[in-house]
Amino acid sequence: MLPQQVLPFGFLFVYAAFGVSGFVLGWVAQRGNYCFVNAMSSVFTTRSYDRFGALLLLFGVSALATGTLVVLGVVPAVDQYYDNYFSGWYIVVGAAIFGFGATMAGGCNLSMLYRAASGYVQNWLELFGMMVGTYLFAVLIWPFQSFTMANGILSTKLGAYNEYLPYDLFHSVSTTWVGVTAVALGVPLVTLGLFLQHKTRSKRLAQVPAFTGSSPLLRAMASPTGRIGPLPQVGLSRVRIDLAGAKQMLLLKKSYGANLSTALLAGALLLVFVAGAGYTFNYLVITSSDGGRFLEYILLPFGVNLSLSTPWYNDALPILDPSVLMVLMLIVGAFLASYLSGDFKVRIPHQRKRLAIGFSGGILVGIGVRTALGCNIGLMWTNFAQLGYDGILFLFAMLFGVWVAVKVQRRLI
Amino acid sequence: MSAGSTTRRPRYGRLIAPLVLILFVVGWYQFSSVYIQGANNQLVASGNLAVYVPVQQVSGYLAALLDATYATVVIGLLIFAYNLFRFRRSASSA
Repeated sequence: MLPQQVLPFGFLFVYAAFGVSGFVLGWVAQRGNYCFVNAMSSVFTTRSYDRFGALLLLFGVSALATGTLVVLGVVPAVDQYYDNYFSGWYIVVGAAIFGFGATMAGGCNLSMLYRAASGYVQNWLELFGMMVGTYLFAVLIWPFQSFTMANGILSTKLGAYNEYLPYDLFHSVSTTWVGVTAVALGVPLVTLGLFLQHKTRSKRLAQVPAFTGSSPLLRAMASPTGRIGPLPQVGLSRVRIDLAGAKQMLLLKKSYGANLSTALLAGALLLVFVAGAGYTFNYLVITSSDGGRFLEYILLPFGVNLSLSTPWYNDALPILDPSVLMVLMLIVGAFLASYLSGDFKVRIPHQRKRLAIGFSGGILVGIGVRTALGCNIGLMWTNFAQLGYDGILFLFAMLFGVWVAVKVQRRLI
Repeated sequence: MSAGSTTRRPRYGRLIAPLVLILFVVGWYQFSSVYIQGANNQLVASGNLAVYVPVQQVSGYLAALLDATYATVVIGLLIFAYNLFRFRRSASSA
């Protein structure tokens, strides 16, 4: 099938769309304190499912929205599977390593970037560790991994539509089966996400009177964990409070709620899905490749070009792609959001060992994301929007890694 | 702005932060136009087309990056000018 460019304005437009999307990602993630690792670890630490439910909503809404665009004929189906890569042992192993490392370091790929831009020194070290981890992966793991991939050892070998759920389930990529698959994948995720959020909020509402009485002021306060926003109000007072809340958000005096952030992030993904149709295909929201590229870029002024001689850099990582501008603008967006809201501050942890943990966790993040062929953004979230199954594998393996890290943290810190 | 905020001790870090942002994006653009293009040309010269990027993409990247750089510089300068105004007011009232 020939590429069909939905918006035929050339690469300037495509890169600009990725830049705008990156800015939105950085801004919204910073204002919403959106972190995949925190969402997952809170399931094991505080038994709170509010943020995890928002993640499931993000995946479900993304799958439903991209599927709807394909069904309506806005974007051809080929744009959902064209760049699908192989699947195999490396996704499960890599995601578990990533989940463990990111929890130890204190941030997933998205939160690492926006927190680094907000002045968190621990996340600067995590980013640097990620560059080192990517290099270690390239020279130590990639030669073996690419061998298993080429020979189909615990790995698929074909990619593209072979990794596309409508084809895997119904042997068809027609819009009918794409729609059926999007509903079958998206609706349960959205339903489960809403259910988990309702469950957590109901539990919290039931607990509040025992601690705070029924004072409306106290009911509106955030929880001590900072993970859950104001509790639901009822009637006209709720409308008034919501309008006041919206004003506070616009003035950057109040953080975005989990679900508002989810909706805005899904919008950023849809923007690149439509703008990149026929150009970048299902290469959507990507952040981890640039952890590898940053090291490559840092070395260029010193006359070292890793893409000429080093494994992985010389056969799997293009010297440039739209995610470079996306990550740059993500950093700019997160910095501006934190600066204008007064949050920006260079923060050095009181416990110096946290710096070492951040760096070593970053190394594991680098190894994990490269082994898994992507991070929680570029592989898990994006793959749900691609109607693939790698995101499901990544989700469960990452949850396992986070669970192990929570156990280890309880002993170490 | 409240009266309280104008009598606060001036914060130099807050004043120069937008300038650091401007330097970062301008430096990134200069780096991209010199080193990334150069590295891409090196890949062609050495025959490694696996990670080479077509010229149209590099041009699109640089054009979009230039626009983003202009936008960020304008925003950064506006923030700097606003903060400089507040900084001078708070310094004169201290």
